[in-house]
Amino acid sequence: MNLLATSNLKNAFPAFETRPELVYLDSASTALVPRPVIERISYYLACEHANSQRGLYQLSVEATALLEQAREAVAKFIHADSANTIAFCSGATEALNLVAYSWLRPQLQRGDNIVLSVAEHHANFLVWQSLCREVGAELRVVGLDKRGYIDVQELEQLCDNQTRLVALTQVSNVLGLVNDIPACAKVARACGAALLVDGAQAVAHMAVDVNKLGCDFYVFSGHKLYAGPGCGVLYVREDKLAKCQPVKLGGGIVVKVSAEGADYIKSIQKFEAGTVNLAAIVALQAAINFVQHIGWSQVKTQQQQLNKVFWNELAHRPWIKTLIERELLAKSEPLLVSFMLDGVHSHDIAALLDQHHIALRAGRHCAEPLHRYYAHKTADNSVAKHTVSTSARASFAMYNQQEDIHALFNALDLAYELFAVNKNK
Amino acid sequence: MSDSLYQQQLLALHQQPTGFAVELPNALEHSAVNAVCGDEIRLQLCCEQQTIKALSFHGDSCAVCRASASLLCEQLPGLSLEQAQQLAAELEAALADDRQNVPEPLAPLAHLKRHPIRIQCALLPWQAFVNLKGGIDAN
Repeated sequence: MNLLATSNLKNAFPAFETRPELVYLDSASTALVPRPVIERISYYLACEHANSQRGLYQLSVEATALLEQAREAVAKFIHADSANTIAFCSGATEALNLVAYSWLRPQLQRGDNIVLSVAEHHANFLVWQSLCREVGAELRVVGLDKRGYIDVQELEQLCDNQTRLVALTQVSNVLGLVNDIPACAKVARACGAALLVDGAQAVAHMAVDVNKLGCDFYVFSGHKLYAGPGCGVLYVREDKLAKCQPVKLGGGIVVKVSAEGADYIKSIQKFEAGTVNLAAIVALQAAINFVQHIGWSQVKTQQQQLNKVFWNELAHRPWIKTLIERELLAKSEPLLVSFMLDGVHSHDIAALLDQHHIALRAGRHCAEPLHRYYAHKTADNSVAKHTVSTSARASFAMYNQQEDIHALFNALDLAYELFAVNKNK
Repeated sequence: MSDSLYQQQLLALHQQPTGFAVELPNALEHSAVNAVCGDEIRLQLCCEQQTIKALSFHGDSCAVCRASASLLCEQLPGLSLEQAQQLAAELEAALADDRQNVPEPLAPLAHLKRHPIRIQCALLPWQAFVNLKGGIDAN
């Protein structure tokens, strides 16, 4: 049996063998792990594990080679110019913190500003908010246009010659829309600001080219790309690398150390003090191979098919509200959908769906500013006012099938029937 | 769904809660948030000489939280602040410990023992009350 037969990619994911009834619609939170990745991790731990960049013996030399091969693979995957732009860390959150304290903190001054969007995940919000407060810089927040995309015109208005960094999500983890990052990059460049892109929700769905995006920093987590937990990626454009100071200090990043001081290495490995999580890194490389074997065109076709079924099902249910007007949202082909049921709290939706073996996210999805933004924008709409403070989110991956969408909507019917106050079916 | 979280008594309280969205004049207030799921509740309390006269709640919260808040608004009027705090403590202890029974007036919450992840939802209004009482005691 070909595990990667595109007719049913569920076969490649052992989670569905142990839980055949599972309908997994929370891949935006973390993706399930395919067998080739699991086997790769297992083989590494069984046969290849050693401390990379440390030992002079063969096993360690080979571990170092694995690390650098993975770095090359990731560089090619996001079309970076060289492997010396790719640092491994624990995840996108750590990558963002590294940019904040390695690159921006040493140069940020009172009166400077950082611009981000209201659609950011807390990981790409809190670190900049904290840094601004620490230094006395200003945090500026760009809104969204009526379709839900980052408002490029407003971005232009907010950026000025005191803007040091523009930090934006490529795809919102609540709205699922692919923002026009190249247009945002032009705005950032025009005012001399660096551009950081949070690619956490993008990397599993589309080819990424950091040069075409025009970003200086790009971050993502391996676990959203079918790699399992433990590995994140920080891309740093080479001209920014020299200004990055090591902030996580430890073994493997120094040229020499004495009681008087230390000389640090200049290469990208300066971000990787201590023992790297090589099992997770080789898993990421295996996941990249897996995704590339499937091919982006297949991934896109499948997403479009799922979207079509989703919007057809949604059309019959006016009591389901999307954060953005559903007609506008459907045209945008989002990569995930967040929604509310009239009079039903998202926590109850998720709990009831769990009884039907459907896993989806409820709450604010680590994007509270975005939920507050829409609550404010829809304050005149009494229905939205009641329900918009949280949402339920269905997110899809290559293992999802049309039956999963039907199961979701059947369960949502039950949830509405059971919970809704003042039903308006 | 006999072992279901959402039993009839609880659903009835969720659908027609006591004290929901009732603005109490000259009331003391306290807001509480469950950051995990986004439940938000604003509790209002009117009392005279340490005796609870009325309670109401506002906000966007799940069925368990609403049902629990409804019971709170229903059961606490007439009790002293101390008695109400004792009831809150008994509920919290009973939900955490299989050997203890949930106080009889709060029986619709008893099956939450089998759904520990939702206990925090049920306790949110009671924690808001305890914090509100703490503010009264401090003054």
